[in-house]
Amino acid sequence: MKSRRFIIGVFLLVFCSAAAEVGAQRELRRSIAWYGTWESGLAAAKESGRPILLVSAAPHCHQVPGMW
Amino acid sequence: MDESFLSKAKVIKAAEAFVCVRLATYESAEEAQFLKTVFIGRSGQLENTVFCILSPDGQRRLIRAGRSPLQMFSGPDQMAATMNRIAANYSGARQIKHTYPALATVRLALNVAACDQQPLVIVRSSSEDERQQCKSKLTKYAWSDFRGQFTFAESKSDTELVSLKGINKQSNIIVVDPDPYGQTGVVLSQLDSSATDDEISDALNLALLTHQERTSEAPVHITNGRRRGIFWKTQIPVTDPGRGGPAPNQRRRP
Repeated sequence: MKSRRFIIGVFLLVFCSAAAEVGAQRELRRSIAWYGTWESGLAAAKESGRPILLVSAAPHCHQVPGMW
Repeated sequence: MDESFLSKAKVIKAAEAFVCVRLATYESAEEAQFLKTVFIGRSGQLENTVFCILSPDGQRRLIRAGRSPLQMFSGPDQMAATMNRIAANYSGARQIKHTYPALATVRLALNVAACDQQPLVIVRSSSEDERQQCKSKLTKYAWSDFRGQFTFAESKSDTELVSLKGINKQSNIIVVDPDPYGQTGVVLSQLDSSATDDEISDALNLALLTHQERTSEAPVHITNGRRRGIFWKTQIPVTDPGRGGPAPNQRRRP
Protein backbone atom coordinates (compact mmCIF):
# COMPACT_ATOMS: atom_id res chain seq x y z
CA MET A 1 0.00 0.00 0.00
CA LYS A 2 2.79 2.39 1.01
CA SER A 3 4.79 1.61 -2.12
CA ARG A 4 1.75 2.32 -4.33
CA ARG A 5 1.28 5.71 -2.65
CA PHE A 6 4.97 6.40 -3.10
CA ILE A 7 4.78 5.59 -6.84
CA ILE A 8 1.69 7.74 -7.29
CA GLY A 9 3.39 10.56 -5.38
CA VAL A 10 6.50 10.36 -7.55
CA PHE A 11 4.35 10.28 -10.70
CA LEU A 12 2.42 13.39 -9.61
CA LEU A 13 5.65 15.17 -8.71
CA VAL A 14 7.16 14.44 -12.15
CA PHE A 15 3.94 15.42 -13.93
CA CYS A 16 3.64 18.72 -12.04
CA SER A 17 7.31 19.53 -12.64
CA ALA A 18 6.90 18.93 -16.37
CA ALA A 19 3.76 21.09 -16.47
CA ALA A 20 5.52 23.85 -14.55
CA GLU A 21 8.46 23.66 -16.94
CA VAL A 22 6.18 24.04 -19.95
CA GLY A 23 4.56 27.09 -18.31
CA ALA A 24 7.93 28.62 -17.44
CA GLN A 25 9.31 28.04 -20.93
CA ARG A 26 6.22 29.60 -22.45
CA GLU A 27 6.64 32.67 -20.25
CA LEU A 28 10.31 32.94 -21.16
CA ARG A 29 9.55 32.73 -24.86
CA ARG A 30 6.75 35.29 -24.76
CA SER A 31 7.32 37.72 -27.58
CA ILE A 32 5.47 40.04 -29.92
CA ALA A 33 2.85 38.36 -32.10
CA TRP A 34 3.00 39.74 -35.63
CA TYR A 35 0.74 40.02 -38.60
CA GLY A 36 2.85 38.85 -41.52
CA THR A 37 1.20 40.76 -44.36
CA TRP A 38 0.40 44.46 -44.74
CA GLU A 39 -3.13 43.68 -45.93
CA SER A 40 -4.05 41.69 -42.81
CA GLY A 41 -2.33 44.06 -40.38
CA LEU A 42 -3.85 47.18 -41.90
CA ALA A 43 -7.32 45.61 -41.80
CA ALA A 44 -6.90 44.83 -38.08
CA ALA A 45 -5.65 48.36 -37.36
CA LYS A 46 -8.45 50.07 -39.27
CA GLU A 47 -11.06 47.89 -37.64
CA SER A 48 -9.75 48.38 -34.09
CA GLY A 49 -8.50 51.96 -34.38
CA ARG A 50 -5.14 50.97 -32.92
CA PRO A 51 -1.80 52.36 -34.11
CA ILE A 52 0.56 50.13 -36.06
CA LEU A 53 4.00 49.00 -34.96
CA LEU A 54 5.64 48.33 -38.31
CA VAL A 55 8.83 46.38 -38.85
CA SER A 56 10.15 45.01 -42.10
CA ALA A 57 13.24 42.86 -42.52
CA ALA A 58 14.76 40.58 -45.11
CA PRO A 59 14.65 36.93 -44.00
CA HIS A 60 18.20 36.25 -45.07
CA CYS A 61 21.64 37.40 -44.04
CA HIS A 62 24.11 37.87 -46.90
CA GLN A 63 21.54 35.98 -48.99
CA VAL A 64 21.67 32.95 -46.69
CA PRO A 65 18.20 32.13 -45.33
CA GLY A 66 17.31 31.22 -41.75
CA MET A 67 18.62 34.42 -40.20
CA TRP A 68 17.24 37.98 -40.20
CA MET B 1 16.76 42.45 -38.02
CA ASP B 2 17.86 43.79 -34.70
CA GLU B 3 15.67 42.25 -32.01
CA SER B 4 17.50 43.65 -28.99
CA PHE B 5 14.64 46.07 -28.23
CA LEU B 6 11.72 44.05 -29.59
CA SER B 7 12.50 41.11 -27.31
CA LYS B 8 12.43 43.15 -24.09
CA ALA B 9 9.50 42.63 -21.69
CA LYS B 10 8.55 46.33 -21.50
CA VAL B 11 8.40 46.63 -25.27
CA ILE B 12 6.45 43.36 -25.62
CA LYS B 13 3.95 44.63 -23.03
CA ALA B 14 3.64 48.03 -24.73
CA ALA B 15 3.12 46.31 -28.09
CA GLU B 16 -0.15 44.80 -26.84
CA ALA B 17 -1.85 48.17 -27.46
CA PHE B 18 -0.71 48.11 -31.11
CA VAL B 19 -1.39 46.10 -34.20
CA CYS B 20 2.08 44.68 -34.84
CA VAL B 21 3.01 44.07 -38.44
CA ARG B 22 6.26 42.50 -39.53
CA LEU B 23 6.82 42.27 -43.25
CA ALA B 24 9.46 40.39 -45.18
CA THR B 25 11.34 42.93 -47.28
CA TYR B 26 11.71 42.08 -51.01
CA GLU B 27 9.04 39.36 -50.82
CA SER B 28 6.14 41.36 -52.28
CA ALA B 29 6.24 44.09 -54.92
CA GLU B 30 3.11 45.73 -53.46
CA GLU B 31 4.49 45.78 -49.93
CA ALA B 32 7.81 47.11 -51.22
CA GLN B 33 5.99 50.04 -52.84
CA PHE B 34 4.27 50.77 -49.54
CA LEU B 35 7.51 50.44 -47.54
CA LYS B 36 9.18 52.97 -49.83
CA THR B 37 6.54 55.50 -48.81
CA VAL B 38 7.47 54.91 -45.17
CA PHE B 39 11.26 54.99 -45.33
CA ILE B 40 14.00 55.25 -47.90
CA GLY B 41 17.60 55.46 -46.73
CA ARG B 42 20.47 57.51 -48.12
CA SER B 43 20.75 55.08 -51.00
CA GLY B 44 17.40 56.29 -52.31
CA GLN B 45 16.28 52.67 -52.47
CA LEU B 46 14.32 50.29 -50.27
CA GLU B 47 16.79 48.93 -47.75
CA ASN B 48 16.74 45.62 -45.90
CA THR B 49 14.97 46.92 -42.81
CA VAL B 50 12.27 49.49 -42.11
CA PHE B 51 10.84 50.58 -38.78
CA CYS B 52 8.08 53.02 -37.89
CA ILE B 53 4.91 53.55 -35.86
CA LEU B 54 1.92 54.49 -37.99
CA SER B 55 -1.60 55.75 -37.49
CA PRO B 56 -4.38 53.12 -37.67
CA ASP B 57 -5.08 53.93 -41.32
CA GLY B 58 -1.41 53.40 -42.15
CA GLN B 59 -1.16 56.87 -43.68
CA ARG B 60 0.59 58.94 -41.02
CA ARG B 61 3.95 58.38 -39.36
CA LEU B 62 3.66 58.86 -35.59
CA ILE B 63 7.43 58.83 -35.11
CA ARG B 64 10.34 59.42 -37.45
CA ALA B 65 10.86 56.36 -39.64
CA GLY B 66 14.18 54.57 -39.81
CA ARG B 67 15.84 51.23 -40.25
CA SER B 68 15.38 49.86 -36.74
CA PRO B 69 14.34 50.72 -33.17
CA LEU B 70 18.05 50.82 -32.33
CA GLN B 71 18.38 53.80 -34.66
CA MET B 72 15.34 55.59 -33.24
CA PHE B 73 15.54 55.11 -29.47
CA SER B 74 18.26 55.27 -26.84
CA GLY B 75 17.10 51.96 -25.38
CA PRO B 76 14.11 49.66 -24.86
CA ASP B 77 12.88 51.78 -21.94
CA GLN B 78 12.59 54.84 -24.16
CA MET B 79 10.97 52.78 -26.88
CA ALA B 80 8.38 51.36 -24.48
CA ALA B 81 7.71 54.82 -22.98
CA THR B 82 7.16 56.28 -26.47
CA MET B 83 4.84 53.42 -27.40
CA ASN B 84 2.85 53.86 -24.16
CA ARG B 85 2.55 57.60 -24.83
CA ILE B 86 1.29 56.99 -28.36
CA ALA B 87 -1.11 54.27 -27.18
CA ALA B 88 -2.58 56.72 -24.65
CA ASN B 89 -3.71 58.87 -27.58
CA TYR B 90 -5.75 55.92 -28.82
CA SER B 91 -7.36 54.97 -25.53
CA GLY B 92 -10.72 54.65 -27.27
CA ALA B 93 -9.41 51.91 -29.56
CA ARG B 94 -11.41 48.69 -29.73
CA GLN B 95 -10.30 45.12 -29.10
CA ILE B 96 -8.65 43.67 -32.16
CA LYS B 97 -10.72 41.02 -33.95
CA HIS B 98 -7.72 38.91 -34.71
CA THR B 99 -7.44 36.72 -37.76
CA TYR B 100 -5.16 33.78 -38.48
CA PRO B 101 -1.74 35.43 -38.94
CA ALA B 102 -0.59 33.51 -42.01
CA LEU B 103 2.41 34.57 -44.03
CA ALA B 104 2.05 34.77 -47.79
CA THR B 105 3.46 31.35 -48.66
CA VAL B 106 4.65 28.18 -46.93
CA ARG B 107 8.12 28.69 -48.44
CA LEU B 108 8.44 32.14 -46.88
CA ALA B 109 6.89 31.01 -43.59
CA LEU B 110 9.35 28.12 -43.29
CA ASN B 111 12.25 30.54 -43.72
CA VAL B 112 10.77 33.07 -41.26
CA ALA B 113 10.17 30.28 -38.73
CA ALA B 114 13.84 29.31 -39.08
CA CYS B 115 14.87 32.97 -38.62
CA ASP B 116 12.78 33.20 -35.44
CA GLN B 117 13.78 29.69 -34.34
CA GLN B 118 10.14 28.76 -33.90
CA PRO B 119 7.92 25.90 -35.02
CA LEU B 120 5.69 26.57 -38.02
CA VAL B 121 1.96 25.83 -37.97
CA ILE B 122 0.44 25.02 -41.37
CA VAL B 123 -3.27 24.73 -42.09
CA ARG B 124 -3.58 22.38 -45.02
CA SER B 125 -6.64 21.52 -47.08
CA SER B 126 -7.89 21.94 -50.62
CA SER B 127 -11.27 22.85 -49.10
CA GLU B 128 -11.80 26.52 -48.26
CA ASP B 129 -14.35 25.59 -45.57
CA GLU B 130 -12.01 23.12 -43.92
CA ARG B 131 -9.13 25.61 -43.93
CA GLN B 132 -11.40 28.24 -42.43
CA GLN B 133 -12.51 25.82 -39.71
CA CYS B 134 -8.90 25.06 -38.76
CA LYS B 135 -7.83 28.70 -38.91
CA SER B 136 -10.68 29.70 -36.60
CA LYS B 137 -9.59 27.10 -34.04
CA LEU B 138 -5.95 28.18 -34.21
CA THR B 139 -6.52 31.94 -34.17
CA LYS B 140 -7.33 32.12 -30.47
CA TYR B 141 -4.10 30.30 -29.61
CA ALA B 142 -2.03 32.47 -31.95
CA TRP B 143 -3.11 35.61 -30.08
CA SER B 144 -3.36 34.35 -26.48
CA ASP B 145 -1.72 31.35 -24.83
CA PHE B 146 0.88 30.81 -27.55
CA ARG B 147 1.28 34.45 -28.54
CA GLY B 148 4.46 35.07 -30.50
CA GLN B 149 5.72 31.49 -30.22
CA PHE B 150 4.78 30.11 -33.64
CA THR B 151 4.92 31.16 -37.26
CA PHE B 152 1.77 30.48 -39.31
CA ALA B 153 0.96 29.55 -42.89
CA GLU B 154 -1.74 27.85 -44.92
CA SER B 155 -1.62 25.59 -47.92
CA LYS B 156 -4.25 24.72 -50.55
CA SER B 157 -1.96 22.34 -52.36
CA ASP B 158 0.49 19.65 -51.27
CA THR B 159 3.00 20.84 -53.86
CA GLU B 160 3.97 23.51 -51.31
CA LEU B 161 4.69 20.83 -48.73
CA VAL B 162 7.02 18.48 -50.61
CA SER B 163 10.07 19.61 -48.62
CA LEU B 164 8.43 18.61 -45.33
CA LYS B 165 8.93 15.15 -43.88
CA GLY B 166 6.36 13.02 -42.05
CA ILE B 167 3.03 14.54 -43.09
CA ASN B 168 0.03 12.19 -42.95
CA LYS B 169 -2.48 12.34 -45.79
CA GLN B 170 -5.39 13.19 -43.48
CA SER B 171 -3.67 15.94 -41.48
CA ASN B 172 -5.07 19.46 -41.67
CA ILE B 173 -3.10 21.12 -38.88
CA ILE B 174 0.60 20.41 -39.17
CA VAL B 175 3.27 21.71 -36.81
CA VAL B 176 6.74 21.61 -38.33
CA ASP B 177 10.24 22.12 -36.98
CA PRO B 178 12.16 23.99 -39.69
CA ASP B 179 15.76 23.13 -40.45
CA PRO B 180 18.22 25.96 -39.59
CA TYR B 181 17.99 27.37 -43.13
CA GLY B 182 14.21 27.05 -43.46
CA GLN B 183 14.50 24.84 -46.52
CA THR B 184 12.96 21.68 -45.10
CA GLY B 185 11.11 20.68 -41.96
CA VAL B 186 10.17 17.73 -39.81
CA VAL B 187 6.64 17.23 -38.47
CA LEU B 188 6.42 17.67 -34.71
CA SER B 189 2.68 17.10 -34.38
CA GLN B 190 -0.33 16.90 -36.68
CA LEU B 191 -4.10 16.78 -36.36
CA ASP B 192 -7.14 16.61 -38.56
CA SER B 193 -9.81 19.31 -38.79
CA SER B 194 -11.99 17.64 -36.14
CA ALA B 195 -9.34 18.24 -33.44
CA THR B 196 -10.67 19.59 -30.15
CA ASP B 197 -9.26 22.65 -28.37
CA ASP B 198 -7.47 20.41 -25.89
CA GLU B 199 -5.90 18.35 -28.67
CA ILE B 200 -4.69 21.50 -30.41
CA SER B 201 -3.29 22.90 -27.19
CA ASP B 202 -1.49 19.60 -26.49
CA ALA B 203 -0.09 19.49 -30.03
CA LEU B 204 1.25 23.04 -29.75
CA ASN B 205 2.77 22.35 -26.31
CA LEU B 206 4.38 19.17 -27.64
CA ALA B 207 5.84 21.11 -30.54
CA LEU B 208 7.35 23.72 -28.21
CA LEU B 209 8.91 21.01 -26.06
CA THR B 210 10.39 19.02 -28.95
CA HIS B 211 11.39 21.90 -31.24
CA GLN B 212 15.17 22.12 -31.72
CA GLU B 213 16.69 25.59 -31.47
CA ARG B 214 19.63 26.51 -33.68
CA THR B 215 22.93 26.50 -31.86
CA SER B 216 25.23 28.16 -34.40
CA GLU B 217 26.06 31.88 -34.30
CA ALA B 218 25.55 34.14 -37.31
CA PRO B 219 29.05 33.86 -38.88
CA VAL B 220 28.99 30.06 -38.67
CA HIS B 221 25.42 29.91 -39.99
CA ILE B 222 26.31 32.11 -42.97
CA THR B 223 29.59 30.35 -43.73
CA ASN B 224 28.01 26.91 -43.57
CA GLY B 225 25.07 28.07 -45.68
CA ARG B 226 27.37 29.43 -48.37
CA ARG B 227 29.50 26.27 -48.32
CA ARG B 228 26.36 24.21 -48.84
CA GLY B 229 25.16 26.51 -51.59
CA ILE B 230 22.01 27.56 -49.74
CA PHE B 231 20.89 30.98 -50.98
CA TRP B 232 17.52 32.69 -50.66
CA LYS B 233 15.87 33.83 -53.87
CA THR B 234 13.81 36.94 -53.18
CA GLN B 235 10.57 37.74 -55.01
CA ILE B 236 11.87 41.14 -56.13
CA PRO B 237 15.47 42.39 -56.48
CA VAL B 238 17.37 43.30 -53.33
CA THR B 239 18.20 47.03 -53.39
CA ASP B 240 19.99 47.41 -50.07
CA PRO B 241 23.40 48.99 -50.76
CA GLY B 242 25.08 47.05 -47.95
CA ARG B 243 23.92 43.54 -48.61
CA GLY B 244 22.27 44.05 -51.93
CA GLY B 245 24.47 41.90 -54.10
CA PRO B 246 22.94 38.87 -55.72
CA ALA B 247 23.72 35.44 -54.37
CA PRO B 248 26.73 33.82 -55.99
CA ASN B 249 24.50 31.42 -57.93
CA GLN B 250 22.46 34.34 -59.28
CA ARG B 251 25.36 36.50 -60.49
CA ARG B 252 25.70 37.23 -64.16
CA ARG B 253 29.03 36.53 -65.75
CA PRO B 254 30.69 39.61 -67.31
